[in-house]
Amino acid sequence: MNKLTLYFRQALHMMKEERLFSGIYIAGTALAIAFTMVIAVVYYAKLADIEPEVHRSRTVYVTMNAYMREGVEHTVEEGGNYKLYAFSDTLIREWFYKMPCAEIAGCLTRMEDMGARKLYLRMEDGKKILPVAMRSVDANFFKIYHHKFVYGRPFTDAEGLLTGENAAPDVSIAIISLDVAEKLFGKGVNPVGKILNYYDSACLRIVGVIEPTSSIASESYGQLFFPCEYGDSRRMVVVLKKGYTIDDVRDFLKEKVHRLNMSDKKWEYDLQVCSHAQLMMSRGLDLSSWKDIFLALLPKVFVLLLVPALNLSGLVAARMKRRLPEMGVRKAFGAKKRELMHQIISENLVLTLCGGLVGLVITWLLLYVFRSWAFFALGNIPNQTVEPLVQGEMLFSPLIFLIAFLVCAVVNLMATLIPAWLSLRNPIVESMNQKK
Amino acid sequence: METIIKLTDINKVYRTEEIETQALENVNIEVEKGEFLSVMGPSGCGKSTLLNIMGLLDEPTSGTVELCGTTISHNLSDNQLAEFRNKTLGFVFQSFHLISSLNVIDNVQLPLLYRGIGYSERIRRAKEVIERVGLSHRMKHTPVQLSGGQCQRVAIARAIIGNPEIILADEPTGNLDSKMGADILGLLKQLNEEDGRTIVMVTHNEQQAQQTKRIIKFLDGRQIQ
Repeated sequence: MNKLTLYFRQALHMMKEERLFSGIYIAGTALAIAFTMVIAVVYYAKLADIEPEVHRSRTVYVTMNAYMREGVEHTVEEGGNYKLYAFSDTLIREWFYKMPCAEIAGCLTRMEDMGARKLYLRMEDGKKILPVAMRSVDANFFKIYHHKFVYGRPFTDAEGLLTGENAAPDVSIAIISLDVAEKLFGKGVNPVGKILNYYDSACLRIVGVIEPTSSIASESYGQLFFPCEYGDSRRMVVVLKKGYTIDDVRDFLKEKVHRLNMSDKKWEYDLQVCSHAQLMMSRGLDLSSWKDIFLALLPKVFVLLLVPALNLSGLVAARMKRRLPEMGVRKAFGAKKRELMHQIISENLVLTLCGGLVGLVITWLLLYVFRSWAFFALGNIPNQTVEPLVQGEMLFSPLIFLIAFLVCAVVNLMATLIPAWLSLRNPIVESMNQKK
Repeated sequence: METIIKLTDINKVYRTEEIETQALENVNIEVEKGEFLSVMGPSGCGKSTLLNIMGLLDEPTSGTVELCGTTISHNLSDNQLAEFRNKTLGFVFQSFHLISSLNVIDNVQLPLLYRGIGYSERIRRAKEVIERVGLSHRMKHTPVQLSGGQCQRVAIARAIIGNPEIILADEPTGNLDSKMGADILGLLKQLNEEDGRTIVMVTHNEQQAQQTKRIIKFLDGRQIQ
């Protein structure tokens, strides 16, 4: 048994002896860790490469605004002098599917538009009506986002972008999520091939069923997916090939938009290109990944942790005063300051570890009970109509726990080191004569 | 005989902003190797200060301390002093100064822990000295589970485990009843006679002091006998 084991054993004994101190210390650390972890988990869930959005770190989103040129009168159908441009099938194919820096590109309805595009499904017998979040996507959508198919298949390339002779078929096809399928048809039923009705006359034939995903992964989320038709494709998604950057996408599209502007006398087009992180956070920030954002958040987290750190520091100082005679005795028998600091840090680590475990449990409870608040208030997730599903990978990422734990361990260390160092500077005789 | 402790012209002055107190004045003491010396005097006469200076727990305002032939210079660092104390000195205090969160065996092995000795050797030696002070059956007990006499026995075991040349005992029987006090004094005498350890003991008890080989007396910071 080395010194460390002895220190840990003493720390455990002291935890039992000084229950109030240990309890407050552990609770303080646990809350600090929980607080840090909730923020970290929210941002991690929004920004990291997690299922089904596994390419977030190299995903680029493109939208285009169109402004009516000065002096041009807009028609009633056009609605106003500004519009979010819906990419035509030709532009999708020519600009995006053939983009040299794109590993793959696809199109989808923006998540922001989905609240307004809730669809009310009716079973063929007319008995069940179910509101679902719908989204128009192309075939590549299911290659970019790794949805797991329980039944059936994704859209084929021909089905995914409805143009020409494929446009507006009598019975359109759809992919639905398993939770919707179970509500409509019951558990364990394969609904592939079944027909869904909506708006009384329109029909959908189910070709696939996917596992439900969380609305926190907002760009891939949906309960019902249609093939894109002209006018649906408001946002393009590009997964960059390795070695390419968002600037390559901008450079490639700049010339094409310029030509489009030259050819259109009525509208002027303005391209918006952003990374996944920029889309989720703020376009103004030059943050390309969740790691950048986490590093940007760290100073704020440290400042927020300063208050509990100062409180812990006061507690440690009071405890160190009580332990002065012990420190004096240890020094009398040959302990060096370095060894005593090592001991105090080890004891502190035991309490921090306990605080970390309690903090982890508090984090899970907070994220379970207040998940809607946490993800929508802290996370600015666009679709607020759906209760977020908080999945395992989001809740427990060892990396996030490690980062949160390290942040709090450093804060605790700072809270411990200063009072410990100050108390160890006391002369031995003075320390030993200190009344407990 | 070899001189193991030599204090030359030791002065100790405690200063505050308002008051200056001379705790020790021109103290000159030599202690031979293997001697059992008692230091006596009324409360506040400087006995404990003297012991603290001998034990390198405190620094004199002026004067020289020599221990085991080494002159303790002001230039020695805290770490060097700690190492010297660890190897050369053993302490027994009136209020035992055992660490309440450690059990007997862990308290006793403390000096060896800071000497960097391995676990099994520490435990072997700790068991040996605990057996010697007659507490084999209390090894896993914590200090609060022991009587005063037993606590002092543990403190003696801790003082001798590192095999130091010198044991400094500051009123080791002051907190004990007469029977337990006699018991502890017997143990110290045994360490002196059988092991040849040099012991300097501060005491108020004339009867106990008479049992040691030499007595020096202090009054108001001065050695009077």
